[in-house]
Amino acid sequence: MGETFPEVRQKRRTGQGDRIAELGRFFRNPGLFTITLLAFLLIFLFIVYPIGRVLLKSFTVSYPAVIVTFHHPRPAPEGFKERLAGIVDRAAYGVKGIEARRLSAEERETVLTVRFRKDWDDLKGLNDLRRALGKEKDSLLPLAVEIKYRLGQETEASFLTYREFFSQSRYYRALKNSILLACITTLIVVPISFCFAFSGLKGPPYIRGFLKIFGLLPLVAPPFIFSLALIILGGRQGIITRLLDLPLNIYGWQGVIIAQTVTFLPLGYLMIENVLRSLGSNLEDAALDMRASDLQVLLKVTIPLSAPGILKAALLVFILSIADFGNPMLIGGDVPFLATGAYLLWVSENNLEMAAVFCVFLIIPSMIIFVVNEFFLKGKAYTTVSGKPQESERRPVAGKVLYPMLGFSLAVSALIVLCFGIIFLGAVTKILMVDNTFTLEHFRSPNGFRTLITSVKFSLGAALIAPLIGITVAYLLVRKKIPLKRVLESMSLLGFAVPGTVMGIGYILAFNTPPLLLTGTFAILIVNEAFRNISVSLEAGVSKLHQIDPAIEEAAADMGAGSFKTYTRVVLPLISSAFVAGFIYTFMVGMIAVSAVIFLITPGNDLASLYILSVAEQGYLGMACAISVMLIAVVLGSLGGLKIMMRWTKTEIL
Amino acid sequence: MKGYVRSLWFLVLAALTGFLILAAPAEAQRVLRVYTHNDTAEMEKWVPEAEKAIGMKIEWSPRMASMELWTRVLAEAPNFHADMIWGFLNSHAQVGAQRGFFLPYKSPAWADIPAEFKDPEHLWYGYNYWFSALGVNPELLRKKKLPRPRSWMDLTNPVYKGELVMPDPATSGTAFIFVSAIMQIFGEEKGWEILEQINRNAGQYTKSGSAPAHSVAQGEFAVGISWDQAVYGRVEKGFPIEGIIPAEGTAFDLEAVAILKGAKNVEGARRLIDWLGSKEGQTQIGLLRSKVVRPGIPAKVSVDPKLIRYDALWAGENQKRIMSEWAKRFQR
Repeated sequence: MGETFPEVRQKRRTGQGDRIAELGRFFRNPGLFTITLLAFLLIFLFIVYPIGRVLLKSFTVSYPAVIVTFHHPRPAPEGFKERLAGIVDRAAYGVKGIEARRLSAEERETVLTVRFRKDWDDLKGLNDLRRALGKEKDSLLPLAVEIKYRLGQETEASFLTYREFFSQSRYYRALKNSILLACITTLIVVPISFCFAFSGLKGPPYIRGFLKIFGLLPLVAPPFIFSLALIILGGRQGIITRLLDLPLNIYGWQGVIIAQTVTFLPLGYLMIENVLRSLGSNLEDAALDMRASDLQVLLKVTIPLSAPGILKAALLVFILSIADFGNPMLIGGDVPFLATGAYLLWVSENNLEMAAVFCVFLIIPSMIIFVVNEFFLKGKAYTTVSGKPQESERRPVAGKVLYPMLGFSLAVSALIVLCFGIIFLGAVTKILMVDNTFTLEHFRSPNGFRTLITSVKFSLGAALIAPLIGITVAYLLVRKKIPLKRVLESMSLLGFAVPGTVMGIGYILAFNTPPLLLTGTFAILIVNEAFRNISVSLEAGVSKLHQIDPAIEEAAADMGAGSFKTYTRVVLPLISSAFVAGFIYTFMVGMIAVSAVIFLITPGNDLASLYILSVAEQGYLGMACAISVMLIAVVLGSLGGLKIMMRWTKTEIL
Repeated sequence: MKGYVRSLWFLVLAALTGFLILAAPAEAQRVLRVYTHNDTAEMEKWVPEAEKAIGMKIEWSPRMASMELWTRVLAEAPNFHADMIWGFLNSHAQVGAQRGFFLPYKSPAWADIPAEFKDPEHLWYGYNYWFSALGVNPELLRKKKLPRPRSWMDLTNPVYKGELVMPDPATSGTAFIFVSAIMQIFGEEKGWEILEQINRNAGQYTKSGSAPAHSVAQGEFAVGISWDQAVYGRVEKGFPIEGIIPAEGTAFDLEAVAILKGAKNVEGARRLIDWLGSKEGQTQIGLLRSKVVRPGIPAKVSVDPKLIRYDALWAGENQKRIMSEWAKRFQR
């Protein structure tokens, strides 16, 4: 991105000497230096470092160990070590699960370290060993004054975990499934999004607003409520299943695919609509003038022209599908996937090493796509008119092209409305379609309310921090001459590119020991969410800054304002709309966050979205629907409130 | 120089903001934070009662399955993020006591509760007990012309292929107790053979131990391996489900409570233990659970099941080994 900025181009022309002078100016500017350093430090600590810890962890393997200390009088009795070794040999013979052991003599004590098999219970090892050594009491007593047992762990660098990953089908199948799932979802979502965007733009004017609402509706709901609705509809005892008496089973592939399709539709739709709008109609008009049919125009002009944009949307959907957590968790049944697999490895086996390997395979596709996007697709959009997307003159498109697409879009819209309807009805009836009595009992959940409040606090916190950092970084990147721009930019985008599961496990690994002991606090949740989302504020800030003439800032500087004052008094007010956009985005994403935060919650710090997931998993579908409805109401309410506030203060933001 | 001073001010300001956000939930003294594997619906009912009794707010994690809870505790040691665990497996309590995770507390309220339900060192208390049970859907059995299972062995019958739902021992305590009970009844070698056959019949593994009873009651599966209250609670509510206690006998487990070392609110944790042992607390527990430990307090299940001598310490000591074996053989 930095490449396209005017001052970067300028820098190319300047010589080595100027560069050094520039660096000198940078170091002599204390405010700029401190803020840049702070930005680097924070972004490194909260994005890069956790990911690094995950990578490191995947190359280690740890074994349960028992450490036995024999205290003995000084000097050690004659032939002490040999005699002890003999006794230990005899004792260890009867203890199962031992892999290795070693005796090391120190001045006043001899330490026996026994390494057990990886899948062995350390406490069983300790008790077995104690029993075995107890039998040797008579020969041990004259040697050692006191014997102490303690549990330990032996960690070494190794590729063993990777070897295990590829040798056991329960591990490598997760990788295969995740990639397959992402491919299928992408192949479904992208055409649907295209249909939505195309029929919205070319169809009758009123249809666009209509489609926009349905296309964007999934954004305000927790990403897994479609799974919830699908379970109510088509589970083994779902509404459709019972009405038609079908042996339906929504759990597994089909469920995840449908749920993901609906979940990721808004993003695909937004991106593709943006591309189609910025195309302008010149080329299409030209083709039509040359007597091309509408279908020919669509296939030969519109689609090829928007291909880079569509490809970008496809890549994003691909990443999101691989990283998705809620849907596979709720409706995935027995099919293993990477993101949820990593979580289950952590919770059920505390096997952080294998979870880290899962994370590595989650990172690789995202990284490839991130690199492709950054280095190959950037600036490859075939925009026929530069600048803002312009509204082209509406010209009717032949029905045989438009109507199938419109019909398809409306069908998908109907599915979305149906899902929302089911969630709402499920919330206010005892058991939907079994006992349709109206009831509000599902809403009476004290913990549901509490988690909602926590969610709001959490999202507000993240939504304040993320734009602050994101826009500051954007300002540094666009307007200031600082070293290592590209590095700073890539580091900040990393938080978004890497799946939430990785960031969750990374935070556990990075912040679980002093002096960086942060796990268990509320702050770690906020920090995690904020840093994962700074890139959106950053992008908003960058594009806004490009629209503002640097001359305004120069004027401020000429009148004696320092860079700090210029930033707070001139730049911040001008880019406040980017700030608000970042704020709203982070707030909405925070309210429905699942994947990274699920690793970090503790009692009292749990979030509504996770509570819904847990309640739904236990089969309390009514309660899950009710809390979802409340959550959606909170999100919509806050958005509405913001809009009213904006109108009231007459600030133009969105 | 002036510039540095100003940026210093900025730093102070930023630090202050950060501190304010961090310090927001600092009222640790008045809030009791608990980990639990109890069912969400149970906690939603018990917590308000307990809050009244101890005069403090109780914050609890969203429901974790038993194994999930225990790995979390193991992973967090020695810096636990909760004050206590209210509701976890006896085998884990025994292991935790040996590992030195708990603070001892001699509760006066528990004086007249039989010793078999308490730790002699006062490290943990068992406030109720429960047993594994089968739930069957009689309508579905009839519809699919399946025999009624009577024993654990019956579950190996291939006619139940795809009709059996059971919890995943990787996450669920109910399932783990079932697996270790099979090991203890039949011996390890035979036990694995039986599990192999049951695995072939299992249509779905659920994360929690209550979920199979739920699916059976909803008519999703014909037979489910679950625990007493999940089954009998639904029988009572009139769902099409019947409880079966397998002929070989079933394993029972104590529901334990313990104070974690390093707890910030020890006073609150002690008060909660007192309440759980008291008549009032036991009555509340008895309203939702099958069997309570205080003599003379009614509870929900009157059936006296045939129990095996379940060795919880053995289960705790061999958990990792058995679970990784299980995962290697059966995880899908």
